[in-house]
Amino acid sequence: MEPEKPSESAIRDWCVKYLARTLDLPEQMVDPDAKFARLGLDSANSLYLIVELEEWLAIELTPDLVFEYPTIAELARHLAKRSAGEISG
Amino acid sequence: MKSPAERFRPPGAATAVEAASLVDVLRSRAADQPNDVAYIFRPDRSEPLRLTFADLYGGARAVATRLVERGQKGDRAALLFPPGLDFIIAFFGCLLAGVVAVPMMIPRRDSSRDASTAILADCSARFAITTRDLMIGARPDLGERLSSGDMEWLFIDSPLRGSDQPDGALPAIEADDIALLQYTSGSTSAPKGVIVSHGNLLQNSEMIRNAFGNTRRSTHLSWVPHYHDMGLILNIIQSLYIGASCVLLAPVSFLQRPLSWLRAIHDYRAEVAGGPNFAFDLCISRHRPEQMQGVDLSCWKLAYNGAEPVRADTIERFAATFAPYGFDANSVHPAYGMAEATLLISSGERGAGPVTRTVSRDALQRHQVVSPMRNEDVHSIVGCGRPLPGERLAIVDTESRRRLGKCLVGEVWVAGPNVAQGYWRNPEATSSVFRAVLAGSDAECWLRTGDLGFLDDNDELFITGRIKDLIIVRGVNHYPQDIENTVQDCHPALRRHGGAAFSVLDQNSEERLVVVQEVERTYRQQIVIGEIIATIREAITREHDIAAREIVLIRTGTLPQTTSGKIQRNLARQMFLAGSLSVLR
Repeated sequence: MEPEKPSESAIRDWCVKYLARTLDLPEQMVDPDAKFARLGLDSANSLYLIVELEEWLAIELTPDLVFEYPTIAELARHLAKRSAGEISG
Repeated sequence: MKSPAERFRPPGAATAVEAASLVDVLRSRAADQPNDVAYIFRPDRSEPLRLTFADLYGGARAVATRLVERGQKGDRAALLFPPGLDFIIAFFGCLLAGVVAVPMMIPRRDSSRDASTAILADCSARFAITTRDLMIGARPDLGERLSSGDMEWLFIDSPLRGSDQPDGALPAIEADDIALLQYTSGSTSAPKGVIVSHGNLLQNSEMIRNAFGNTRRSTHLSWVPHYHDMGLILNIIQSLYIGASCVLLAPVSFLQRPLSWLRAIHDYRAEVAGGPNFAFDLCISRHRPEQMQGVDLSCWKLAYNGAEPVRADTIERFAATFAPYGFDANSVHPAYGMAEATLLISSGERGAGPVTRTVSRDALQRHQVVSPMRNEDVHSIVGCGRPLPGERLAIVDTESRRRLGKCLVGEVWVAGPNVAQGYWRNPEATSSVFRAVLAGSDAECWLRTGDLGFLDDNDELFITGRIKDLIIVRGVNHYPQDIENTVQDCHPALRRHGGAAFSVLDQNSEERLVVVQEVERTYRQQIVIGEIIATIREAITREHDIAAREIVLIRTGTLPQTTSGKIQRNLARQMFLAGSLSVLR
C-alpha cells in the first residue's frame, strides 16, 4: 500500500517548523502568509528548503518554486496537489 | 625591460617559449597539446560540454579579433556570463586583445541595489560581453539596466568571423600589462577593482602550482563562480597554467545537490577541488549514504578550504564522514588569500594535512595566544599554511607599525610579486592598502590585508580575526555600509547614519549578520516594532541575499559613535553581545 501523502496543512506546518529552525525565528513569527523574503529566506536557504522538501515528499522540485509560490501557504497548497499526483511539474 | 624573474617557462611545456603573460601560456598550450581537453562544463540535465586547448585558442582569437577591430589595448570589457564555457572563451579573448577583463556577477532579477552599475561606471567599460541567449532570452532587463556611457554589447554566440586571421593583428602582451580587474572590494556604491597584471597572474600561478604540487595530470573540478577569484584563478587559470583539465559545475548545482560535487570528483578522477568552509559543512549535512554508492574519493588529493574562516570542527567532521568513500584526511588543505594578492597568500603542502592548535578562547579575544587553562576555554584553530616562497609576510602592530614576533597577534601584511598593482583609479585607497610601510624602513611597500593573525614557531599562519569592516557569508564579502544604507532606506523612522551592521558567530561558529538601528524619537509612538523589523529583514534579503540573524532597534543617540560621528561597529557588536544596547521593544 502507498504511504499516505502529506496534506496541505501538514506541509505548511512542516515548512513553518523548518524555517523557524533554519532562520532562528520563533515559530509564531513564521507567518505562512508572509512573503519568503520577509521571513529572511535568502537564495541559498531557499534552495535548501526545496531540497529538504524533495527528500521528504519524494518528488523532484525546481528551485524557482519559491518565486512562483512566494509564501508558505501558497507553496504548501501547490505541493499538496503535486504530491497527490493531481498536477505535474 | 623584463627581469628574468618575470619570465616563465610554462611547466611541462615542450615548446621552448618563455612566458611573459598568460597569453604566451595559452599559445604554448594550444601548440603543445591542442587536442587535450582544457575545460569541461557539466550541466545538470544535459551532456557535458568540452573545449580543447585548440578550441579555446580558436574561440578566444575570434573574440579578440572583434575586440581589436572595435577598440584598443587597455579598454575594459565587462564579462557577464551564466556558468559555462563561454565565459572562458571571452576571458581569454580579452587577454589576447590586450583588453582588460572585468568578470562580473549577473545582477539578481529582484535586487535594485547591486554593484553592477557602479562597477561599469568605475571601470568605464568600453565593452560588455555576454551571450545572446542571456540578453535576448533569459534576461532582457539587462540591456537597459546596465547601459553605461558608450559601452558596446558583444554576443559571443553570434556568428564569429575572422578567427583565421593571423595573430599579427593582435597586440604584444607584456608582464606589466593589466589582465583583469577583480571587483571584490568596496561597497556597492563605491566598488574597488583590484588591478591584476599578467606578471601577477604568472607569479601567483607558479606559487599555487608549487604549493599545491600540481602537474599536468592534476584535474581540477570546481563549482565556485567564475567571477569569484577562487573560481577564476585557482581553477580556470591554474589548470591552463599547468596544462591540466578543469571540470566546471554550476554553483547552483552544487548548492542544490552538494553530493553531486563529490560524485563529479569521482567521475572525472579529479585531484584538486575545494571551496569556502561552508561547502564542506553543506556536504556533511546533506550526506546520504544511499546517494554516495559507488563513489570513490581516493583520487581527491587536495581539498583546499579558503575564502572564509576555516573551522577545525568542519574539517574533522568532513574527513570522518567521507573516509568510508576513500577520502584521505591529509588531503584537507586550508589556505589563505585575497584578490589584493592576486589570490593565494599562504598554503600548506600537498598531502601534509591541516595543522590545528588549541588555544585559550578568552586570551584570543584579547589578541593573545596562550594555552587554555580550563576545558571550557579550549578553542581549536586551524592553520592556513605557510607564507609562499617568493613572498614576504609580516605580522604587524598597527599602532607602532613594527613587526611582531612569533605567536603574537597583529595585522597580516604581505609583499611580493603576487601583490596586485592597486585599486583601479583610486589612488587614495591604493595608497592606504597597498603602500603601507613599516616604522623605520620606508624602502618597501606592503599590502595591508585587514586580517589579524599570528605565525607560530613553524611559520604556520593562523588567521584569528579581522580589523576591516567586512562580513563574509558563504565566501561572499558584504560591506556594512551597504547593508546600513538598505536598512535606512526602508522606513522614515530609521535614522540616517544611525545604524551598524556587523557579524557574530552562531552556535556553529558561522558568521551571521546582525543589524542595530536607531529609531527617530518622533516616530517612537507610531511604529510597530515587529513590522519594521520584518520590513528591514525583507529589504536585506532582497538587496543583499543574506538572512539577518537579528535586527535590533534602539533609542536615538545610543549607537556608539566617535566624536567625529563615525559609527563604531566593533563597539556596537560588543554591546550587542553584552546585552547593553538600549533596545526598543
